[in-house]
Amino acid sequence: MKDLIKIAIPKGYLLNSTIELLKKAGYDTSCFEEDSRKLFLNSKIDNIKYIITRPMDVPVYVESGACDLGFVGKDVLLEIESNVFELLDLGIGKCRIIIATKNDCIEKVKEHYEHFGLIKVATKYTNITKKYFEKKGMQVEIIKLYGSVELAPILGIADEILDITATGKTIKENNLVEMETVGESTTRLIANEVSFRVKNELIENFINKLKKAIN
Amino acid sequence: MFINNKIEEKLPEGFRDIFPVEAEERNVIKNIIKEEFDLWGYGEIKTPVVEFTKNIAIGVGKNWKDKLISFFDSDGNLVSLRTDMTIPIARFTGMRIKKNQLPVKFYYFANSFRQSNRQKGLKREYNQAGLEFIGSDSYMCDVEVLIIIINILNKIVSNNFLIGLGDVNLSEALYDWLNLNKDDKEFIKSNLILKNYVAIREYLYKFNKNKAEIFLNLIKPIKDITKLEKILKDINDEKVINSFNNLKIIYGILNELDFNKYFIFDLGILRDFEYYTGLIFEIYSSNINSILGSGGRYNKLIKKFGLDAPATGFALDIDMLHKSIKESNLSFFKPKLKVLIFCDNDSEENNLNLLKFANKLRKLGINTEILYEKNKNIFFIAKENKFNFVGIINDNFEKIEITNLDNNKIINLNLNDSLNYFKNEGFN
Repeated sequence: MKDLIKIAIPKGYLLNSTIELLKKAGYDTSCFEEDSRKLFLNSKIDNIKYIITRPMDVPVYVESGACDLGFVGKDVLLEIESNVFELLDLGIGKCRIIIATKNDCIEKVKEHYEHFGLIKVATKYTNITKKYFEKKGMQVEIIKLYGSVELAPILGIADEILDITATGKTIKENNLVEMETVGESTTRLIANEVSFRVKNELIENFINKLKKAIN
Repeated sequence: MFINNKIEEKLPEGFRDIFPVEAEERNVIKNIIKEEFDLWGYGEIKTPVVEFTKNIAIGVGKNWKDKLISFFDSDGNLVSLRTDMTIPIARFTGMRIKKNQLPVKFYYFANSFRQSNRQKGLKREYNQAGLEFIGSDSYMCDVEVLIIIINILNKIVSNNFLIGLGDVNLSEALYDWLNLNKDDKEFIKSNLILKNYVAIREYLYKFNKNKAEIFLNLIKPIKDITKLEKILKDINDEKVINSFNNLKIIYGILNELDFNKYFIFDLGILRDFEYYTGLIFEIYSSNINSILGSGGRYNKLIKKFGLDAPATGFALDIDMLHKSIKESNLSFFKPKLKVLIFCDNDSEENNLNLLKFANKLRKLGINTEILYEKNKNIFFIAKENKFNFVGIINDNFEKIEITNLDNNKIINLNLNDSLNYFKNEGFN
């Protein structure tokens, strides 16, 4: 058991780039190729157990010690604020966290805020939104959505959205326009605080291989 | 004020109840710890759960507002629940102990309270056991408290732990070597607490890439002291090398005692309390991925409460120790033999006889409970509460029918013979 590392891998848009990186670092990724809905994947060659989960759950798994390591976007780390080691910026999965509104509406939103002192922001990232607007000293009403956040301004649910975008394509396609950049995000390697000490040799070895792969 | 008089069927967030089974198991752990503390001559101390916020804030340092659970007393004073026992003991020592009484050695079993500002259902109450060695700056005191920890953990979780050692002075010397000003230091420290090594790397790369890499190699776990020493010697900074002496001496003694296998070095250890001034350590469980405890030297805290006394100590987390035992050693908690007795005829006279008979069993060291009223569910109750035997005594109080709940065997005996039977079972 002590020689095994458990790694949380995010489903969705980071999955492929993560597998590619593992492959480049010399790890056996054949277990990912089986087309299945398995949530646990074992690589017997490397003695690694991969746990496939939703991105937002990766830091939770790692913080609780269910996984020793995890791959996760900085956006998720900012949102969840877990007590985990953020060890490496892997440089993959680049995207920006942005505020957007409907085309031609920037002035209108600003005017609205001046008159009413409150704007509505729809987002998946309620914590980031809260902190960002607190820092700006603006009052906002946050509307939590679980997907298709771009629809919110169009349907009139919210004035603005806070979301991530890699190319800006989805934003444009939905007739939205970027107002501000809140931050940038890339995939990070995170570690459980106790695993990092107790399984240090294994983790150190893993980090070194990843480092070589990203340079 | 309360229009609806119905009770709240829940607890304030972050708190919980403890049932007898768990409480009993915790007592087993506490007794093992207490025995060790007593053997080394420490004395138990109790302090109030509340202290003036001002006093606790002195120890907690900046951001204290986020960490304390505070309220007003009836005089309008701001008071807070203690966040650990080190601060109240420092306050106690400052107020009550005279210089010529030093050194003093205290231990405690206490609950402490911390605000959990993240909405994650984190617990707010911590059950701790710990000790403080006050009045000596000798590294031998640090060695002593580390040995006490090892002795305790060996008995409780055998080899399933690791202690990470750091030193605040060594870290400070490294910051100076990196040429960090006050703001830079703050940035590095706060990111060490957040464990954001990506941010630290980015920040230090702006100054000097080479030095940054060396520093990053030091703030991760290092098993081998010669490796650590080599990195520090290569730095070739007098202050850094001098500050390493403390750790080196302490580890040297532990090594002589064959305890080296329990230790790693990690200069990234930075506890969320600001009072540490020298050695600092964390105890990791290798089977449940949790921190079992922490501690270190704090030479300036007690002075803030009026007595200039150096000190060192640690706290163990009883909840985590309990969890670790449950994970690794299922036979750790051996239940005591328990008997439930009951008489078919619940006359006043028989109830008195039951009391007398139960006392005889208790004198044999057998936990005995009496059911005073008729109850159809006697076997269900007995099984639920993990009794080993149920004894049903007949109407005229002469015979007893004993059911062994472990194997469901029934035996009929004269009441007086049954004492011998239980006695033999009790010692098996």
